[in-house]
Amino acid sequence: MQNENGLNPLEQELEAALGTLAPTQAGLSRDQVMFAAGQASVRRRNRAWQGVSSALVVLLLVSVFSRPEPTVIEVGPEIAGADSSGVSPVPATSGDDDRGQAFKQYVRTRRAVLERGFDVLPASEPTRTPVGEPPLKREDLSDLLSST
Amino acid sequence: MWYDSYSDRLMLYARNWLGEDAARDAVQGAFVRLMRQSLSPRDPQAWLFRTVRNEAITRLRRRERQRRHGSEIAMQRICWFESHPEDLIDAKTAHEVLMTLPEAQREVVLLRIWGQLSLKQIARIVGSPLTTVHSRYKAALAAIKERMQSSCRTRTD
Repeated sequence: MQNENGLNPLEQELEAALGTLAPTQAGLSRDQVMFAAGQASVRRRNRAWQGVSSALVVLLLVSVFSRPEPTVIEVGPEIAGADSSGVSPVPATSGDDDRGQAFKQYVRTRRAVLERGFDVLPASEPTRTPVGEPPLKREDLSDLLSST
Repeated sequence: MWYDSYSDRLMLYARNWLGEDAARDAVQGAFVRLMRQSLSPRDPQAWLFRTVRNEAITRLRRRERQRRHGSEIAMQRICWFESHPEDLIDAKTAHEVLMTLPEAQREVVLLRIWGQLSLKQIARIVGSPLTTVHSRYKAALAAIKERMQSSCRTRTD
């Protein structure tokens, strides 16, 4: 007759006889195991703190170094009617006789010429100046600049 | 507690692969892991044996002692079983006979008789089909029986 494991009576007898043998004691103490478990849990807790703090440090560093640089807006002298290729002829003022306005226009033009050369001025067209003043010509401007 | 019930049996199982100290570490490691589990395993008994097995195999691989471990085990001086006068089988003889079995058969015998696991549980632990485990167990018992008989005959002669 066979049992659930398909063993005959002789094999069952042998199995039972072997089962009476007690394994040699492990030589482990329960306290030792508990201590090791405690140690492992403390190590794991420490690791969690280490992980959290290093993540925070990384975040801090990233936020410090990846801060966008402040945008500098340069406000330079504007020449009315200037396009990208250069300076157009001195634009006409509204036609009034305001000398201060004309002087400002002159200063702007002068600065543009100093920066980019005479080529910014069209050779043929005379500049329009306020009424009553002789038109500004390249030769005049050249003289003026050499005097300064 | 699981420790009281299974430490000696797990130790016996670990000795199948490892020396005394390494086996002790493997069993201790298995209990520590069990305590660290947030959810208790469904079958803690089988879980413990499987963990000891994995631990033992990892240790063997790590130390690259697979070629030598057979001789290491053979040289173990500690008898696997405690000797009592009322035992039906001599502890030392049982140990010697078990050592003559192929490792796969010996593992099944250790798990079945001293681990008190069913053949289904053993099949899951060793990762082999139930029929294979069953045939290994039968073959191991037959071999043990035969070698015990020859051992008795030698002694009486």
